[in-house]
Amino acid sequence: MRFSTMVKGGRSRPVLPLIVESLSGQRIVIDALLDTGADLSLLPVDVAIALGIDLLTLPQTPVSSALGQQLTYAPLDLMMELRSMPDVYRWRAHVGILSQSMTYSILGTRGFFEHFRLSYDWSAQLIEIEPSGPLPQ
Amino acid sequence: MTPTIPPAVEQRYDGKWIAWDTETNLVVASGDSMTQVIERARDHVDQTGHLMWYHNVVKNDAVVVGSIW
Repeated sequence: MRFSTMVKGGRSRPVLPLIVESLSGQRIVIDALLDTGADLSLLPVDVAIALGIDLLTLPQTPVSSALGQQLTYAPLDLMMELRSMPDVYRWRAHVGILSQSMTYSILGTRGFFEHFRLSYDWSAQLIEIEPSGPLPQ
Repeated sequence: MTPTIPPAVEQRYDGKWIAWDTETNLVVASGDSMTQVIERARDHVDQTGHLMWYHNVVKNDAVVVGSIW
């Protein structure tokens, strides 16, 4: 599956339109940054608000950002979907809901790279991904 | 569905969050945070049930390091 990078103000970034679905079936699309240095996939608290997920019922786990911030996230499973017609990749992802807003959601090792291979060609402004095995449902 | 937001829209909402209706291809709300935009788009979502893309039109001169600010 191939995507163009997201270009803004002369900068090109590996950002994908990611469909996120709660286990109750509510769906939204968010910007998700492919981050090979992230141990896990993280979504901002706003996503939980949009999907009607009550974070108060979930445990909080500490996490450090690449810039040294100490934050907490709530672990949970969500369905994720990428579409670039005619292909659709859909998988159940273990992610963290961060306790704050974010510029972009992050697709990291847990929840994304454990399931996909990535080719990122910055000069051609292209991202190609393919499943590395059966996608968890 | 591979949603695309036209450059003219990105330019108009530089630095803002927008709620983009993926069925009508229109901005239905804008604001300074995703939470604000979700709230402003809530009535539209409830009435239409359309799939919304909550998109951050990152400022032209912004440098993204990771993505947590």
